[in-house]
Amino acid sequence: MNTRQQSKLIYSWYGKPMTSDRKLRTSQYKGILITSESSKTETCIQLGDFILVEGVNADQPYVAQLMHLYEDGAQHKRAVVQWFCRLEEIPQNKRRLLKREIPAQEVFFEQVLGYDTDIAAETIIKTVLVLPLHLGEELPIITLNKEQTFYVRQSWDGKCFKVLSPDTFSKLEEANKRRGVITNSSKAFTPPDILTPVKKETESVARSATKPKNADIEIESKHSTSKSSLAKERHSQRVANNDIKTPTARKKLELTSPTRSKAKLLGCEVLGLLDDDCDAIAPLEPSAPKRKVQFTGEILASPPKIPCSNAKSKPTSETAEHHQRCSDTTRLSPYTKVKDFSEKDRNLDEEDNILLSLVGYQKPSSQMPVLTPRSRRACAQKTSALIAEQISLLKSHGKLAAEEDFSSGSDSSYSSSSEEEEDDDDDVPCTPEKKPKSSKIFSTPKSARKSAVHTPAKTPKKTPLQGTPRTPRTPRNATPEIPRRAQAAQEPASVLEEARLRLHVSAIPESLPCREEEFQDIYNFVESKLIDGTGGCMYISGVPGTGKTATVHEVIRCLQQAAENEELPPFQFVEINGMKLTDPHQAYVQILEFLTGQKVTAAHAAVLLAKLFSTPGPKRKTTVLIVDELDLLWTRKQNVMYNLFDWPTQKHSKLIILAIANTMDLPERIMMNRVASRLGLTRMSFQPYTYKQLQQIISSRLKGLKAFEEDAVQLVSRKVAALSGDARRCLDICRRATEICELARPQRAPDIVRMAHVTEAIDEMFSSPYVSAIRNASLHEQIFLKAILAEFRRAGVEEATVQQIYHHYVALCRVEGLQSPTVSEIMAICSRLGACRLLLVEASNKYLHMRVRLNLSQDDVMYALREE
Amino acid sequence: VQKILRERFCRHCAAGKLFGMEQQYRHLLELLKRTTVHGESNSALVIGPRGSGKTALLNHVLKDLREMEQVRENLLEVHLNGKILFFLSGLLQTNDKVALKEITRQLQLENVVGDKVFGSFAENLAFLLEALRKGDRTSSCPILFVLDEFDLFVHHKNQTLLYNLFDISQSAQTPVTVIGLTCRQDILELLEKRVKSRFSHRQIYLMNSFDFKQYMKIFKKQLSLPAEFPDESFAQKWNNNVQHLSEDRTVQGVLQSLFQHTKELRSLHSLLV
Repeated sequence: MNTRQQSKLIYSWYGKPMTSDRKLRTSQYKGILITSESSKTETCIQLGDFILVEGVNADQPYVAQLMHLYEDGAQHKRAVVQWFCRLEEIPQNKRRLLKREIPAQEVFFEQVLGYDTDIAAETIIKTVLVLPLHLGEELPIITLNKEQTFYVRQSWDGKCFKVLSPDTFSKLEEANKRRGVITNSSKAFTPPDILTPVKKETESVARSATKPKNADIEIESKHSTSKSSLAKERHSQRVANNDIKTPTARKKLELTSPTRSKAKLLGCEVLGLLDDDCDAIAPLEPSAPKRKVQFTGEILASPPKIPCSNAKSKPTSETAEHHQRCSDTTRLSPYTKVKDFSEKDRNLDEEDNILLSLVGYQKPSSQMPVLTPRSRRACAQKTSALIAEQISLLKSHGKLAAEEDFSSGSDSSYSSSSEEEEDDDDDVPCTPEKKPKSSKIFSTPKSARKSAVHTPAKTPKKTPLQGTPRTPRTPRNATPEIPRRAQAAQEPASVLEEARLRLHVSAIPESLPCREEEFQDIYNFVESKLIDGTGGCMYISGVPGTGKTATVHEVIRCLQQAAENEELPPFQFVEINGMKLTDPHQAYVQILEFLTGQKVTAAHAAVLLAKLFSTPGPKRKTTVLIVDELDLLWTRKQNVMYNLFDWPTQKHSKLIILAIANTMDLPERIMMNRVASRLGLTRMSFQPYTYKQLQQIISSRLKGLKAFEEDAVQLVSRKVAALSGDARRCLDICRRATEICELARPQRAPDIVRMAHVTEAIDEMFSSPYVSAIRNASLHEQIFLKAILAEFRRAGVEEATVQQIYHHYVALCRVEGLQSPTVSEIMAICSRLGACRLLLVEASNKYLHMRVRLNLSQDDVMYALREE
Repeated sequence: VQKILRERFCRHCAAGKLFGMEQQYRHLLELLKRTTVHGESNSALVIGPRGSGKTALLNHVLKDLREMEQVRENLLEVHLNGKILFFLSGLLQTNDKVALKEITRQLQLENVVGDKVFGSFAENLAFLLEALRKGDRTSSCPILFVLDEFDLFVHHKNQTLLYNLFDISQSAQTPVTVIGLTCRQDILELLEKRVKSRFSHRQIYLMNSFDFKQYMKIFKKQLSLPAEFPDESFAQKWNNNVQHLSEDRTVQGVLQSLFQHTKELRSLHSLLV
């Protein structure tokens, strides 16, 4: 979306240059004009304004404050910014430090040094609001345009969170105030300081209500408490109307900010209603005063969904438009609207509670469609008379919608019902849905937070994407999971079982013996690139089962640990496997999905990735990409490989590629010169394990267990080293040997695997099946084989037709004194042997002239037949 | 009488006893038991010429597995109900794409809507891998993949399906057991080297390694009526007749020549019918 808009925007300076530096040939400006060609609108962004900057992910632009604007020597428009970072940009493990719930609109004043603050002015998208808040403070209640308003409470310097220092705070406030003068829209927002006392009162009431319940909750922001009680509220609501289907989880997610706006709207009347409400609901709800507020907030979230889910029903879609128009007016004349609302509410005061709240919700809900880009664009101005009209419309529809929502909740809300079903089956973590049932205050905020973290970004995007509301869930949104087993897996009981568990290939050892050198090399390579912030490629080769992938993963694990301890700059880790792709071009899709979470077609993904890696991203971390089974990414034009290895050579890519494949000379053999040269010469090859190393691997896995004889281990490792040096094979043999041992072991014999067991396992795995297959064949099949041998000897060629063999066959049968079989029987025998691949036969349409060849050496056949 | 016998011959000893494969039976049973009880991942191939009872063996093992665990405790019963069996036949699944859809369908994952699977091939693969990666040894339900006509899967492009199945069985993901049934002795040479490396090299050979005496015994057993036959005297008489029949010279001659031609039990069945 943004990229498309971008192409139509023209950037020009606002006003004359303030100062210009002759030497550096730069000139500073105090504002930039963004003109959109299509809509002919001009936006002026001045220094100090808060802006959105195009980022890696189109749905999640970066937030920043504009500090300087200048034009450099090459006529490029540049901007210096102060970054703010979203919660999503903070590493998962650091989020714990916050110890509170972060709404989607909260950002952090960023003081991380690593990021480039000098960006191209063309990446600026538009202005937003960023409001500074004190730590203990509520999020302000008025939100006019949620999407474009952010709040700052703390700063983030890469290690920990700090409270905003007074001067940054005042600076930010000042910037906001200035902005208030310049743009008329900022009039709309009420600074947090001048919150109505009424509101504060409600707040304290709520606080006191929840306090006795749970001390923990106090620490969390009030927002979360409101949420939790909201959940409870939902619960009670459910109890009241048995047939009500609970609205979806998604609805709840979206409500974060609307809650605020409505809270303000109803703030004054809440007090008025407080008494009545208390009487009615007190038994159900300890935090009764808040109930009113939350209730509206809760349903409030649903209307945007109804329009999109019930697009088929005309009245609904109509109202969707109303929503839109109304939302625009809301934005333009908030004050009149608020007044209107409160009047309306008062009128309805006498009506029953539910209806009231429905109307109450319907109004703020009109703000919801602001989310969709569609409505944002449409900013037609409406008169206040129209507002009144619409409100009445909305009111009538409010009932209707609510009815729909409640009675036909299951089919009208496409995602809710289906998700509910899912949730019932498997216990997916992000289900605030289920939690209210248990009505535990603890669990609810937690789950709400969890879902708030990852869903809000998706939800708005999904709606425009999905053409029909009833599209089956895309795999991305579904949470794939194998059903849980009903009974816990048994723990290993005996020494042998324990040994078997440890010998399983999937068991991850703490360390990788015998690969220390390779480990160190790869580690040093990646580490140096990380520190330099550059890109590079490394090619790793080796036969299967020599620990390539395991070693690389180990390296990444160590690096991640180092990054966590702040010894290294943070990085992103992406892994693709050629075997797990259906098509080489799918690699782009997977990489992009890992990096940004977008899901696009292969061609588009390639374009996006190329753009991502070739342009200097302002806040991008280094990416470490592992490409396993590289040879499968081969295409005829080799463009996938070419692109992969071309990106690291770009100046700003910050991409490190570790390519893994089996063949050592892969670059020379299948790659074109231009690809091979980009891959570079950093190569490493993993040699097959020697028997000593294999021995060491086994004994390190069995450390502290007396399950194997020393000699037995040695035998296995020597055998495997001689054949392939494949560690997997080695472990498999040992595992099989424990099984044989367990089976053969007499009662209560010592649990130890001896030579005999190991030999049996080896025989089982490596013995050729042919000989035994021939020995167990029927008599006539054996005679047939003999006849083949005779014919071969006669003709001196290792190929014969069935006709020739048949002659020998009949002769042999006479010698044996057997009745000679018919031709069709011969053919049956021949095809049977062919099916077992003892013989290689031609297509059978030639009948007797079909040529036959042995699939094993003549000597083997002789040996097998002679034994009898 | 006719009904019983016909059923027995036509259903290819699904209910009858297994002949001459006790050892293999035990091996396979142990293997599957470990998968279900300990959540251990495994892979194995059952190799034997046509008509050697590969499928019969597997069916038998699965049946016994179910019975045994039901007898043992009803804790395991639930677990077994949750266990998912797959029968992928190489003849039916002509390429990976179809096989993958079949897997998803049989697993009843979320993107299945009324027996139809949506999404592209790539999406499906990613989705399935994701699903299998989620699980771990102790918590997820073990899955048994049975690949009938295994040799046909080998010819799929890149052996993607096999690679992924074996890879899962070799890594700490959802416990799976992959069992392939094939009649080709050279199956291992058909596997790509990285696929082969991931295969655990457990091979169970079925050879029909009985001689003529055992063959006669099988013949008798197949014909005689079970003890729980309602009409007891008739059953006795019938069984005696069968005994006589088996001692008859001409019958023995016919059987002898058949035995010399092929050791398949299936042909014996068709003769008896």
